[in-house]
Amino acid sequence: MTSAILLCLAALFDVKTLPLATPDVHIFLARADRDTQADVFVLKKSAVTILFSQDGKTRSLVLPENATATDVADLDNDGQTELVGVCGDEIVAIPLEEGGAPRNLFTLPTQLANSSSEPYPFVLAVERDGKTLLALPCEETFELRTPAGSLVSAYPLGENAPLRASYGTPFRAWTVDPPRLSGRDGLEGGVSRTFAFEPHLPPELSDSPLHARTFRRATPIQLREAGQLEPDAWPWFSLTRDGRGDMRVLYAMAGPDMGDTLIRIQGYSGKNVAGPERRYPGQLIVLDDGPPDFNHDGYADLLLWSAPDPGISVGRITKLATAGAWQTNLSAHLFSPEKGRYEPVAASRISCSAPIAWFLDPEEAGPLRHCALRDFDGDGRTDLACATAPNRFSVWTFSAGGFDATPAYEHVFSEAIIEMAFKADLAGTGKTSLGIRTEHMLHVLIAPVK
Amino acid sequence: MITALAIGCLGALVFEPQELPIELSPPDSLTGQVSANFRLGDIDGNGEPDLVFPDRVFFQEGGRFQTDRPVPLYTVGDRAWIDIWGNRFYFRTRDRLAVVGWREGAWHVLREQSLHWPSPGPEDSNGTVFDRFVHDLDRDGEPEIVLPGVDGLHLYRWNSKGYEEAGSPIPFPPLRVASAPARNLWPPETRRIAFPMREMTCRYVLEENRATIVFREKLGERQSRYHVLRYILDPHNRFQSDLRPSDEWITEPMPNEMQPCRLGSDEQPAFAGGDWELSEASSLPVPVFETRVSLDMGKTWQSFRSVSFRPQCLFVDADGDGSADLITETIGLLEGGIRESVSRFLSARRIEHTVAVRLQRNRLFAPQPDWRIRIAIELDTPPVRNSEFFARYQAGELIDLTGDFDGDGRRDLLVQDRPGRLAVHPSGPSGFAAEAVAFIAVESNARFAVYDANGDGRSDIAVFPAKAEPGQGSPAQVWFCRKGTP
Repeated sequence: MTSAILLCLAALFDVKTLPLATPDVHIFLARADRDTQADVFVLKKSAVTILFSQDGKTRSLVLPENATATDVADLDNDGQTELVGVCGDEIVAIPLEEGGAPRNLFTLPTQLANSSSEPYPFVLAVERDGKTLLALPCEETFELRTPAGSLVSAYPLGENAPLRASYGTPFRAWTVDPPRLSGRDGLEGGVSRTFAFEPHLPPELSDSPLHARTFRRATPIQLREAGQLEPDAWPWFSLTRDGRGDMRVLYAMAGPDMGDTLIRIQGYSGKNVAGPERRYPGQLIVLDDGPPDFNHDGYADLLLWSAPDPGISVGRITKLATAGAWQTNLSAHLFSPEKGRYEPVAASRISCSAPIAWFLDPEEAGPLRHCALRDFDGDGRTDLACATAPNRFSVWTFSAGGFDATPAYEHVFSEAIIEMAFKADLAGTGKTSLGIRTEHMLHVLIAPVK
Repeated sequence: MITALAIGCLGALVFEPQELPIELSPPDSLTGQVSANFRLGDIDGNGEPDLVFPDRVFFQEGGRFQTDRPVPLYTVGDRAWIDIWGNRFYFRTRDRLAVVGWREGAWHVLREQSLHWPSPGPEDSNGTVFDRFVHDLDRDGEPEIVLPGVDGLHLYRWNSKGYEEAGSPIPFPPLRVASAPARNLWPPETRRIAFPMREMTCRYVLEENRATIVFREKLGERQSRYHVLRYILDPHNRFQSDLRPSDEWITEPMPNEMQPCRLGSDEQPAFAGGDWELSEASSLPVPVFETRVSLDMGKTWQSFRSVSFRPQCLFVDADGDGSADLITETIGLLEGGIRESVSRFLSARRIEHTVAVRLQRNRLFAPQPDWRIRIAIELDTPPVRNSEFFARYQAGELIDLTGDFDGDGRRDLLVQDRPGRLAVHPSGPSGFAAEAVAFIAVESNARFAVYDANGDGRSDIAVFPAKAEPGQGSPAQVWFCRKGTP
């Protein structure tokens, strides 16, 4: 971390770093020791590195060359987890000790054997009746086995499965005309087969993500077109943070430059119809995190971005281009349960800058990158974190008075940010920690427990 | 009816128009070839290819299609997929095969039989549609029928009485887990059992007695490698092949955006593609398009960068030697300093555009362009207005290098150099002519495509009305390129 410049204005995070040799890594969270805090695992081919979030120490392990699906589980219920993996037809366990050696649990051909050229995180261990079992999809059955390999139960999978999951047409053939691979006189075609089944499982195991509730989101292009459609077709998110009730916030973009957001509330008045359309200046920021709750009242709030118009003249645009960055204004609008609508006046506003290129990318919904709307200080209010330059990351906390004008935390990395690898409450304190990947490093911004 | 209209004449390029209900796709970016809603075949045997649609035929006489006398295509009374071999039509229905020919002014059923097909028949399609399933593997004049099934590629051979399945199917690769299905392991409430989808996707190619299967193996999120399996079919043994390939190649890992294609004169697949990146050499980020290509199964790569422009076609066989050559194009809008670029963006109505061709020799593309031409494109409004014409320019639709109008084997340059005009720059041994030799006046913003629509060996130009949507039946004005002087 010597090359990183730390501009820590408040002790929101302890920063720990882990070098990454290759860009193709799996980063995931799991519990590696006996404390209750999640730790950070990095899979690089067959090399496993664990960063212990409590003390920042690291430990290295090596998986067998042919390892694919990999999980972290307490197989013998002794409070200490271990790695468990599918290695060809072998199911192996590896103690989480420095240089821990794999031990073969049992042999079983599964669909997961040779499923990838490198290991990946995958749920293998499930708890049933207080015991840890291994859940393994085989060719014709989905099997639950003890860590010693004894079969506990098996459910039909494959052609005899009761449920065929729909992923499009199971078999498709097409002609490639004009050909791409053959010469002028050749014949070329393509074939595609997909094969996906689900067994009927006991209720405690059957919480499949296929059936999980999903909110309708939209691509930037769909969002622009949504305003022309009936409200039924608008994207939406739940009005309440916990999804209770069936109250929805429908949204669409509007205005000549698509600079405004239209909002309709559905279901708040008890009727399942969209309420009146209201227009808010700025474009709505929608993240996987779900909507923010800035005042911690349980209702989803709005965060909108806008940018000042530079004006069209050679001088102004040249000045803008040479500056390399442009201003972004963010405004937070709170939901008023009494009025049943979002307040027209922003509860808080802040300004930051973003590189011009980030404004111009048509595949992105706005200039904010590597964004998180989470609670970082543990006060229950949603805060904002995002990159404000390719290598600069800033966090604004929201308090009773709104956002502070300056970031509560800022970190300048020595190389550009590539992605946010994770955002999670590692210790169950309500504070979100972040994993930020740059080209050669993983930076873990850990929210202190105290 | 316009009979013969010489639009421009220098070097004996003459274009004559005819309205035809044809549709053509934009050219494939890696091969420059287009797909059409028609087929060409000399159905009446007069030496001139006829224009065949799934429901009718326009016979060609004296270099023109007889659109006022369309001949309804034979119907089999069922939904059918049709392929054409020579002057014979092969109708594949749900459970039958009918071979039909045209003789003495009428359709005649030449052969008909029941057949069990390995994959669903055309009951899912609407009406009759073209397909490709007939191929003469042993070049004995009696084509074989090739159809994919779940278990592999099935061949049917003619045995003097009828078609019969020949040998075992050529196997397709096994199902594999679709992609490494990485899941959340923590917190515990987010852990989910997953049932990974398994899939198999492959391409097959048949050339003479060889079948090639190509499939991709994903390596993590960003990279893949390709497997190429070659099977040799024995025509003297009912096209039986070994169930194991006679040759197998595995490429080096490569970025996912690289695609297999044929760029050389031999059968070995090449891999090519391109991607955008932002050059941050100056304070104004400039998008740069990088074309990457490997002609040796991913062992070595060549890459070529061009500023702010992705050509419609990355490769065409420009010099007609049988090997594809590499195209780069550069927009002149961003030349000079930031202030000049901004000024052009806000006020210029003329863009200087550069097209460069790197010829392929000895399986390498020249590091420097062999051919280069700089052309001026007149815009209807400055770029800042983002007019439809400028949007088409940015999409690469105004430049076409796929046509050979003078029939010399080299690709000529066709450019819509202003909203209402097409200009032809023929090519010679050293490149494109600097001055256009023929012009075609078109409706402002009309879309165009290049194809040899009458099968005479010279490319023709199809011009589509500006507002026409593909499939809506608006006829195209097809400008047939003719030999001789007007």
